[in-house]
Amino acid sequence: MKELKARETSIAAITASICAIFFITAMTLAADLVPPLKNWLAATFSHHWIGKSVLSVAVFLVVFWASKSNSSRAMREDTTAALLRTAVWFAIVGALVMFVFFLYEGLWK
Amino acid sequence: MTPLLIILLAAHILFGLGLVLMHYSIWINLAKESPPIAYLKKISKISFVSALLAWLAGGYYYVVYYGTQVKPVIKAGKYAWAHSVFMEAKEHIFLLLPFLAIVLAVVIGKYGDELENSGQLKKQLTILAGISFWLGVFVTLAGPIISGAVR
Repeated sequence: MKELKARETSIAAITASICAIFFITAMTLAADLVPPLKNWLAATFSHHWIGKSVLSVAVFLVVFWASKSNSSRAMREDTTAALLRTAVWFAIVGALVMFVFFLYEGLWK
Repeated sequence: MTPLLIILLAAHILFGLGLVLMHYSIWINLAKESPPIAYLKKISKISFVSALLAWLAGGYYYVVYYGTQVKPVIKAGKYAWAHSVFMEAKEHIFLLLPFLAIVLAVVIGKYGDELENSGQLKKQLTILAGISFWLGVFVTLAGPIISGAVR
């Protein structure tokens, strides 16, 4: 029982973090490419970066709670490792995409 | 700069550096055959708190001061790319770090002693800690590049 709970919480946290990382990457690119979106973030949250911060936390919390209530994945022992691998790739790709994007925007655009 | 902004600027550097060093420690300790679980549980929780504090301190300085007082100086100077490339990348890549930190804290905290013999789980967690460390290094090194462009 304790082991299952450990897996449930871990899976929820990793899933939520993957979604938050995806959201941050997507929102970063979208806000720069679509000025009205950036303006909306600034108008709603007083600054676009605060908006991205707040919304990424909101995404994490919503997905965390939704994942916790779906315990069927926690029954498989290898789910946590597989999700961690996914999180690793999302972090690497997300960071690279954002850096290359700003490199392009800053130097070549 | 007001005294509060100076304190928050320094605080964001200290908490950020603390986060990077702690994630380095988590990385190398997870890689051991017998990771020190009690130590890892403690330090992963502290690293998450450090990430949150760096977020708040740095965020306040960035929103209240950097945008109006520092950014225009950089953009008008010879090194405008320091803002458009490195500051933009830093402020957004940093946002990934608290989420990576919470994954480390939760998984280490919940699995505890089971981690030692958990095969793939331990391996992937070790890699995640390493990635978080290197992203933190980038965010840290971007700081002097940006502040150097002001001078």
